[in-house]
Amino acid sequence: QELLDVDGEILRNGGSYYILPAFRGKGGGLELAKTEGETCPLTVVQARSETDRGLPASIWSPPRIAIIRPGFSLNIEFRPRNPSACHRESSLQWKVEEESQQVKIAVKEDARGFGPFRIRPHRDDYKLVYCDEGQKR
Amino acid sequence: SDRCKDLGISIDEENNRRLVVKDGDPLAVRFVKANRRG
Repeated sequence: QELLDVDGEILRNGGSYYILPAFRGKGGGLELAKTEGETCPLTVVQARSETDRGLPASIWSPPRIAIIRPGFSLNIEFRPRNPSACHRESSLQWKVEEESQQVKIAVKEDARGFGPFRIRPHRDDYKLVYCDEGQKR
Repeated sequence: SDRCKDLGISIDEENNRRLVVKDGDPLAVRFVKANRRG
């Protein structure tokens, strides 16, 4: 099964995409925000404005395969066009914070090869899932 | 067994729509190429 973007084209391994909600009226694309006293935006959130596409994210899997399939262990990493100075000490690679179960961005030492995320078909669209086992590879 | 859990949205007291592990209540998403024209 192939994973497609909104233009009907296959998702490319290492491609850069905005991740948008499938349904209107509940916020925009995924981006970063400061929460709970963070001095830099480290928390992955949905943009408040529906017209905001959020940040472009690179979606990639280490195998040298051109396309992404539903079973692949994926890394997701924001790649803003103009990264802020605030993020020099962090990669913008997603991780799940164990205690809070929130998606944050990883400090550089935590960035990993095989990512814990996958993309799965969900009704007529897709969903993102987090797979613990991906962390152990 | 499937150890994968859905990622969904949790709204905090500051109205941030945080992406969290929320099994059974996924955020349905679509992908738009970042370099897409138009």
